[in-house]
Amino acid sequence: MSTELQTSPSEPSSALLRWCGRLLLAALLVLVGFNLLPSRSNSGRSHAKGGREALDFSVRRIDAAAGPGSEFHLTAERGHPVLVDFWATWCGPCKESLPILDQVHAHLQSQGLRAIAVETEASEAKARAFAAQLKLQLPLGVDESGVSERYGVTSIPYMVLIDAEGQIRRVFHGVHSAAEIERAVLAVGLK
Amino acid sequence: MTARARPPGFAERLGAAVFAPAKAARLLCSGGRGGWSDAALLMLPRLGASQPQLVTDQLSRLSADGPRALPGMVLALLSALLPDLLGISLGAVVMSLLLGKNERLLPASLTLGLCAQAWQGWLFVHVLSALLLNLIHTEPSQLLRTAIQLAALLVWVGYAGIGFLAARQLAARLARSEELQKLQS
Repeated sequence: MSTELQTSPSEPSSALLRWCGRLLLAALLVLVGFNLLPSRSNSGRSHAKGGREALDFSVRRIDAAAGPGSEFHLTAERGHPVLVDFWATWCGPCKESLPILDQVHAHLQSQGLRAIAVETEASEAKARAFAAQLKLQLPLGVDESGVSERYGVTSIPYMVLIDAEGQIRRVFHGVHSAAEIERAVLAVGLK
Repeated sequence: MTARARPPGFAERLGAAVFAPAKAARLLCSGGRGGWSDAALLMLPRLGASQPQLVTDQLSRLSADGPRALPGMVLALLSALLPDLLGISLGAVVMSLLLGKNERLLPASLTLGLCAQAWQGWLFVHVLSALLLNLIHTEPSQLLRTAIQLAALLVWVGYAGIGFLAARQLAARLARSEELQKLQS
C-alpha cells in the first residue's frame, strides 16, 4: 500500500498542508505559552510576587459555628492568607481532602490562616450531613452565585491559596498532604 | 532515474487531519503513519493549553517530592485526558460496529487511528478559538463557550464520519479482492 498523499484537484497541496500543520503547531505552542507561563509564575512554590488577583466573592456560611445569615467575604479576610476549597458531596476524593484542610486550618488558624470550604452544588442539607459525617470544624459555605465557575473550577477537589495581599499564589488539584499545604501556606507567609 | 516521494511528515499529516480530513483518512487507510501516534504527541500540549494549572501543579509536586510523585502525576494527567481517550475509543468501537463483518479485513487499530485523527480537528477548533480570544483579550460568555464546544464536537463527529467512509471503501475493496482470490483458487 502506498503511503503518499494522493491529491485530488479540489484538495490542498502537500506543501500547503505542511505549512498549515506548522501554523497549527505554532498556534498550539503559543497557546501553551500564554497559559502555562503565567500560571507557572503563580504556582505556589516560588516566593516570587506577582500572582493573579483573586476574584472577590462572598458565600453563605452553613457550618455549625456560623450564625444564621452569616457570610464569608473574601475581602474581609485581606491581611490573612486564605485557603478556598471547592468540593461537592458526590466527590469521593473530597472525603479525603476536606479532613486534611480541616487539620491544616486547625493547626494554622491561630497564626492567621483563614479557610473556607465551598460546596459547589448549593445543596445545603447534604453538605451539612457530609460535614457532620467527616466531623469538620472549618468554615463551610455554599456556592449560590457561580463562584466556582468564576474561579475556573473544572474538577474537584480544587483549592486556591490566596496570600494576604489577595493574590492567588497556588492552585491545588486533587488531594495533597497536610505537610505540603502547610509548606505552601508558610511560603506565602502568615500574619 | 525517478525520485521516490517521501511519506508526509508530522506537520503535513496534522495539516491534512485538520484541513483535508478526507485526504488524511485516505493516507491512514493506505497504511500511512499518523492517527493515534500523532494524537498521542499532541496530548501533553493539549493539557498545557487547556489545563495549565493542573500541569504546573503536577510539575511543582514533581520538583518538590521527586520521583515518588511520578505515579500520581501520570494518573492525574491521564484522568484529565480521560474524556479525550474515551471519546476516541468509543468512536473507534462504534466505527468498527458500523463497518460490520468487513472490519476484520482492515489493518489492526485503523478505526482507532481514524478517530484519533478526527480528534485533532476537535482539538484545533479549541486551540484556534482560545488563541483568538486570548489575542483580543476577550473573556468568552457562557453562550460562546457552549457554541465553541458544540462546533468542536461537530467537527470531531464529522471528521470521524469522513474517516468511516474511507475505512468502508477500503474494507469493501479488500472484501472484493478476497472474493476474487477465492474464485481464482
